[in-house]
Amino acid sequence: MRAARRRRTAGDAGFRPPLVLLGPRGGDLALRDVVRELEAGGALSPGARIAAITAGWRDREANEGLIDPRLANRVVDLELYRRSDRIAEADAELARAHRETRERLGALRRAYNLRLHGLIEAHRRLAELRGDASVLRTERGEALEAIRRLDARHLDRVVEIRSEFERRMSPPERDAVRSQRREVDARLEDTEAIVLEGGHVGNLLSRLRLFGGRKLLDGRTVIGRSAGAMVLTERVVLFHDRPPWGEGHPEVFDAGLGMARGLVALPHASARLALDDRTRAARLAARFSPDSCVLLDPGHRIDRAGDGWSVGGGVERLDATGRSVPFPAAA
Amino acid sequence: MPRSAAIAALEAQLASRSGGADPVDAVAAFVGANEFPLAEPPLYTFVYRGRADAVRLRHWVHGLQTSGPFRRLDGTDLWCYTLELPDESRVEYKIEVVAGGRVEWIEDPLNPRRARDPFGANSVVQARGYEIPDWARESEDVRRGEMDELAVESEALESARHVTVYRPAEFRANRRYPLLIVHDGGDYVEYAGLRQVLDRLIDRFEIPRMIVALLHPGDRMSEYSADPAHARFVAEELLPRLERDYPLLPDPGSRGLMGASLGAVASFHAALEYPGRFGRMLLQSGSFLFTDIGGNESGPVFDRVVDMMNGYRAAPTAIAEKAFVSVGVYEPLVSENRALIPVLRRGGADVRFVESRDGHNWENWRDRLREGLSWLFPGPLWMVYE
Repeated sequence: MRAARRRRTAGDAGFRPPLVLLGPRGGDLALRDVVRELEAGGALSPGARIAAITAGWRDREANEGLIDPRLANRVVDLELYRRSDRIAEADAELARAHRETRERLGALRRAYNLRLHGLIEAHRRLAELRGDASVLRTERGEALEAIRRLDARHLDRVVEIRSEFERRMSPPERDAVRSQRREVDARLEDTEAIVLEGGHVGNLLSRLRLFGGRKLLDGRTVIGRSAGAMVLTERVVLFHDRPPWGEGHPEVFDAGLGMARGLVALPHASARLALDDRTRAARLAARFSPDSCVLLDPGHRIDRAGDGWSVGGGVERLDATGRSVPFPAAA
Repeated sequence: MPRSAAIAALEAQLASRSGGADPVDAVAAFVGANEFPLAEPPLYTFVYRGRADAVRLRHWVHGLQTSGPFRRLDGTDLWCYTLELPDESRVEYKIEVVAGGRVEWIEDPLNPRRARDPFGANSVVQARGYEIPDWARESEDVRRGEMDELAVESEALESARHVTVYRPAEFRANRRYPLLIVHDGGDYVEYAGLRQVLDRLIDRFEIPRMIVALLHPGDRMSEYSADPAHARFVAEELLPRLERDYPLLPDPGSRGLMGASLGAVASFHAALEYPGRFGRMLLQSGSFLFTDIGGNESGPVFDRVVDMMNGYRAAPTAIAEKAFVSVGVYEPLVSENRALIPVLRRGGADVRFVESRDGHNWENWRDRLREGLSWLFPGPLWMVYE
């Protein structure tokens, strides 16, 4: 049997711990396989302990059977969802301010979606319009720019409202938060990797922020699955092209933790996106260009490699015409 | 009268008697080789085989004659009737057989598709493009809710009422949930698959986990026809009891009323009598009868309903923030439901109105539940990526 290489650590010159994005649960890629490969490559010690963040599962948090039962004795769940409940119970002022911020963000989201709907409808109708090609090209370009500007402004506003909450309430300095963070730090102590499971992306992101955001993950191998992959990117984009009602226009939700740069993660892409609608897919790609809209289906995996990504195969992105093409690939 | 090409071919075969074929064999071969009603979109041919003096199609499609006469093919016991149906139609029917002075309405022996209702079952023809929604089917993989049975004492109705309460899978007593009160709740479960619909839509994150109170009426025709006692029961007796026994969200936007036919009237009436109490309404094929001049001529059951609707039409008020209204275009109530929409909007409600090519029946109501429930109570679908 081949011996595992010596594990490189954050102290080694130029070392950046691995960052792995996984598609949704299912497929034939188990978490244990990913861990084994990281051990074989020297990124993790054999049998290394792993922290799990399953706050996206909300009330089902810390259900060991759902992670990978074969890793159960190595995984410690940080229980960020349950801890945030404890914090809310202990610090009513913080909970109230958080609720008010959430309501403001909800109002902002409704206004953004109203405006977004109008702009996308205009873009859609311009795409169908026939006439002078040079005139239409300019108009379509401007219609797209208007959507991109709205997306960018919305993201700025979300960050502004959240920052205002953080400035005003200083969560890290509050007793209830500090006490829970100490316990989380203790659980993290002998772990080498953190797995972010999927689920409710909003709940996951807000709990991660409450417990330090990117700082919580720094220095360790990070594996993000589905919603866990989304929160590691720079922009979290919500999408569902076949909702029970309405048009289902993708929307910018919030800034992510910014550890996975240059891509927009789209888990369950085959199920949630109308990939056969090229106009729609092209618009999605153009809205977030130059970032790549990466289609993450069950069994998919991408690994950070230098400033880019390496892919096991099968992972695709949307190109400018709305086609699904291999990722990464020259534009 | 539309003509079926397949029937024409059979008639030609019978007329020519090519190869000396026995008409009985030819008919048997035809029946054995096809599914019925025979689909040649947009034509659908209903077929009955047997001795009879007359055969008719009995359906409830408003706008068509309720009785379609079958034609017997010469020299055979095969009767047929061809109807043109737009795509996505779904029609329930029976076959009326007149024989020896007896008239009998039967389910179509050649069609296995059935829809059940409190009166029994009907045969069903599904036109091209109609499919039973996947979310309405029972699935083993879905986390299931549970049912509690309650007896709710009512001074208003002068008796205790049986109410079944659906609690969603993974219910937690320390969370708070929206509430939906469903008129004819037992029938919704029995004939529209409401329980599995709730399980599926919750499991798919299309609606939130919610508490659903299923009502079982006493004297339905009286209680559901704009009866103040029933409205009082719902708002002043049932709601407080549910708030006491279950962890419910306190705002009107998290409380809804739902019903079909007279159940929709009862929902509307309770919301009207208690404005601000229920922020969501799901109204299906409501018997919203009104008159523009003169009084009610639809029978005494509707006296209070017509008074209520005439009053509301004259001075609409905000009775719910959001209302989902659906109706089948093949039912006689389509005009009344269409007429309700602008009035509800004038009253200030955000209204979503959906028409379907179907009739006044439970499966039509079932098929609209996903859109209605997820519009009134949107789930975390957009947020969840497991």
